[in-house]
Amino acid sequence: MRRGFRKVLPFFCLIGALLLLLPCGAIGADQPTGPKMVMKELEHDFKEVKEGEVIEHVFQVLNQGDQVLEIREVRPG
Amino acid sequence: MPSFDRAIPPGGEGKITLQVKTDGFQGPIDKSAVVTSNDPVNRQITLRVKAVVQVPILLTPKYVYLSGSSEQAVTRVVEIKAELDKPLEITPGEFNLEQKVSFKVEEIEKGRKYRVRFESIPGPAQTYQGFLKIKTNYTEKPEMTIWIRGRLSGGQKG
Repeated sequence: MRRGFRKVLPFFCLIGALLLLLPCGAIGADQPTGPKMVMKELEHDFKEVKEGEVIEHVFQVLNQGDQVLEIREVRPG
Repeated sequence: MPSFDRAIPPGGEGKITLQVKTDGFQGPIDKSAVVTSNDPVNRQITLRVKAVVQVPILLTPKYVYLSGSSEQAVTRVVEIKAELDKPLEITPGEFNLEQKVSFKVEEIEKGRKYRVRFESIPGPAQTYQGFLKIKTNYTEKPEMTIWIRGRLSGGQKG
């Protein structure tokens, strides 16, 4: 009787572990995390430029979230 | 002067463009812009652009500030330095503070470096703002303006 129980114990443990993990996965899948702003770079150095030139740089923004990323304002400092 | 994409879909990519006009700048510049979004974790991020603005003629400092007692002459010096590999010649042009400030141009290094010495003319307490224009033989910079500000207070009476 005891031997039989020892044989099936790992199986029950595995089932138990899966049952514990199942709700966690379900929660993660249902809840949106929101937008996530990721910049490819935060700084750009033009090095040497001549006075009078208009210098321009395009920063790439990635949205790695699961909702629309809204850029509300870009305020020069 | 920024321009940017207002909405970026999940997994998408957008652009933020920063523009800097270098007119009137000299030497290192460091400009930043604060980006505000609906990202719940990082609502604000700061972007920076840096550059070193090269000028044909370097003015150090770019502005003159005369401050002190109105009863005494206050002196400030501006250095004008050629940054191109050719001789620089300068001549004073328009000046609009004749009754308040005097100036003198000295050549320090032939064709390379000059010094303009400004001196306040003693008189009543006053504040003023004006300029001295400098004409040059450089086609890249035929004229420069040295801005002058004065804040001269009256003497202490005891």
